[in-house]
Amino acid sequence: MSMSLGSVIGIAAVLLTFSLSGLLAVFLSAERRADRTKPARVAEPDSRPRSRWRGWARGMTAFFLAMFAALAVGAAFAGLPVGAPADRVSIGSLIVPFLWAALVIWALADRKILRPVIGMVGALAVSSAAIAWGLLA
Amino acid sequence: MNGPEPKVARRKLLLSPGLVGAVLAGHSAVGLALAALIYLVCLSGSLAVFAQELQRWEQPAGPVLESVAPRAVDEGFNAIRAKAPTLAKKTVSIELPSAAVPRLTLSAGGDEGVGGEKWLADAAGRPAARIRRPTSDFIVALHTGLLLPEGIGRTLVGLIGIALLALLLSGVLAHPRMIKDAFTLRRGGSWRLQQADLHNRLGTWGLPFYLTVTLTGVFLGLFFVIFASLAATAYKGDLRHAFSDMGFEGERPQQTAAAVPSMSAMIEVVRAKAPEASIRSVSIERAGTSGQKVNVTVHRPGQLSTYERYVFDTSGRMVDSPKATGETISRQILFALQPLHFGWFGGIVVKAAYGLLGLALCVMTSSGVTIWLARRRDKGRPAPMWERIWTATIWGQPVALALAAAVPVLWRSETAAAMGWAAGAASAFALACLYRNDRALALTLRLLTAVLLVALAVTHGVVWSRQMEDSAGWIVDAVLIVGAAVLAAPLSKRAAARPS
Repeated sequence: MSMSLGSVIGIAAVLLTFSLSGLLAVFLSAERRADRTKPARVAEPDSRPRSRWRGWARGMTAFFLAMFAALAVGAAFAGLPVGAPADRVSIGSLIVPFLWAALVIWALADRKILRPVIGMVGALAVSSAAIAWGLLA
Repeated sequence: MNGPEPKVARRKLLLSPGLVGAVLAGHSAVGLALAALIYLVCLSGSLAVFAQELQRWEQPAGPVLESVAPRAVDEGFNAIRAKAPTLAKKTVSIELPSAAVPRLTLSAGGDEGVGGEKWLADAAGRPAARIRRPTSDFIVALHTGLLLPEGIGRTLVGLIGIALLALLLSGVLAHPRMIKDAFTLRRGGSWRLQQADLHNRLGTWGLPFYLTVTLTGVFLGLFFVIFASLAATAYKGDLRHAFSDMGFEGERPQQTAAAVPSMSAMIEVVRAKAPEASIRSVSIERAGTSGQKVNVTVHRPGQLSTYERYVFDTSGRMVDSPKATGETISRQILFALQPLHFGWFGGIVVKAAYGLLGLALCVMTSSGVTIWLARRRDKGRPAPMWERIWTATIWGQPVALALAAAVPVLWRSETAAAMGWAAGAASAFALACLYRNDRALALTLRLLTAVLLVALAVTHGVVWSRQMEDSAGWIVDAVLIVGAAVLAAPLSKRAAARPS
C-alpha cells in the first residue's frame, strides 16, 4: 500500500464539502430585516491608551520578537532526540507558523505590552539554551 | 449553592468581554495594516488555482494530445537541446500530456516554470509552437511574490500569510458565539451588522479551508527561513544532509562528458514497476555529463503528492524510487504542500471549490475593513475618502486583472499583462477621486469589469477562432461571460426596481 498521504484527499474533500454546504445553508436561510435604524450589537475592540512609542513597541514585538521566539521554539523542538531529524523538521515547520501567528496576536492584543515581551524573551532564552545544549551534546 | 451558577461563571471567565475586546483590538490592528495585501494575494490565488486552464486558454493553438509514445520523450529532448544548447546543460524537463494539461511541453533551463526556453511539441516530440502564457505567469507571479524580486516577494507573501493566520486565530477567539450564530445571516438591517454577519459566517464555515491554504502558503513562502532554522538544529548545521534527506540535491561540479541515456527505456522500467501510476514528467539535470541524473515523476491515482519519482544515473541504472526510500512522513508533508495549497489534486471540481472559497476569503477580507469604516460612520466620524479608496482597492482589482488578461491578447509583449494590470489599478484609484459616493463607485467598477470580461471573451474568440484546437479556450471564454453576467446583476436589479 502506498503511503503518499492518500487519505488526505478524502479529508480535504470532506472539509471542502462541509464549508461549501454550510455557506449555502447560511445564504439560503438569510433573515431579511426592514429596520435600518436599530443600533447594531456587534463586539467592540478594546479601547486603550495610544501613543507613538507604544505602537512602535507593539509593532516591533509582533514582527521581530514573535518571529525569533517562534523560530527558536521550533528549532529547539527539531533538536529533540526523538524520531528522524527530517520528520522533526517537517513537523516543527508546521508548528512554527501557528506559534508565530499566536505570538503576533498576543503582542497586539495584550493591554500590557511588557507581558508578551517578557514571555517571548523567556521563550527565546529557554529555546536558545536548549538548542545550544543539543548542539554541544 | 445551586448547580448552574458556577457553570455560568466559568464560561464568563473563559471568554470574558475584556479578553474578546483585547483580541479584537489585535485583530483590527493586523487586519487594517495588511488588508489590501491580503486581498491581493487571496484574489490572485483564487485565480492561480486555475493556472493550468488559463494556460490552455491563452494558447489554444498547437497539438492537443491524450498520450505520447515513450520515444517522443527522447525526440523531444534532442529537439529542445538543439534549440537551447546552453540552457539544456542545466536542466531539461519534458511534461507529458495529462487530463489537466493535454499537451507535450519541452522546456530547458527554466526555474520553477519561470524563464528558460519552452515549446509545445507534437506527438512525435517535434517542437510545434513556442509557449506563450503571459497572463497565467503574471497571475502566479502576483500571487507568489507580488511582482517583487523572487526571494523578497516570496518572503513577503509568507509574512502576509503569518498575518492572515494571526487574523484567523484571533477571529476565532474574538467570536465566542461562533457556534451559536453559525446560521445567522441578517440582511437589510444596519450596514455594519450586515457586514459583521457576512464576515463572521464566511469566517466560520470557511475556516478549515482558510487554515489549510494559509498554513501551506506560509510554508511555501517562508520555506527557506523556517526549514533552514529548524534543520540547522536537527542536523547540527549540516544543511546539505538536510536537503538531501528531503529529496533535494545541492549543486555538483560538472563532470566529464558522457552519452545521454535513453529516457524511453527508463519510462518502460517505471511503467513495469508502477503500472497503475501515470507518468507526469521526465527531467534530466546536467545532461551530457557523467553526473547527469534523470527523474521520472509519476502520480498514482488517489494520491495527494504529485512528486513521487524514480531517479536514474548516467548509466540508466535506477538509484532511487518511492518504495526503495520508503516515503518518510517529512517527504509526504513536503510534496503534499503544493497540491493542497492550490487545489491541484482532485480535478476541476476541487479547483472550483477552491476558487469559490478563495473568493469567500476575499469577501471576508473586504468586509473586515468595511466593518471598521461603518463603525466610524456609526460613531459620527465617517472617513469618506478611505471608503472610496477601499472600494477602489476591492473593485479595482477585478478591472486590473481583466486588463492583465485582455492586453496580451492584442499586444504580444512580455510586459503586456503587467502594463494592463497597472493601468486598471491606476484607473480605479483615479475614479475614486472623481466619485463622491463609494457605492456608486463600486457599481461602476463592477460594470466596467463585466464589460471588460465580455470584450475579452469576444476578442479572444475572434483572434483564435481559426486555430482553437484546445476546447478549453471556448470553455474559459464562456466562463468569462457568465462571470460578467454575475458582476452585472446589480444593474439589472436596479433597472427592475426603477419606476416606469
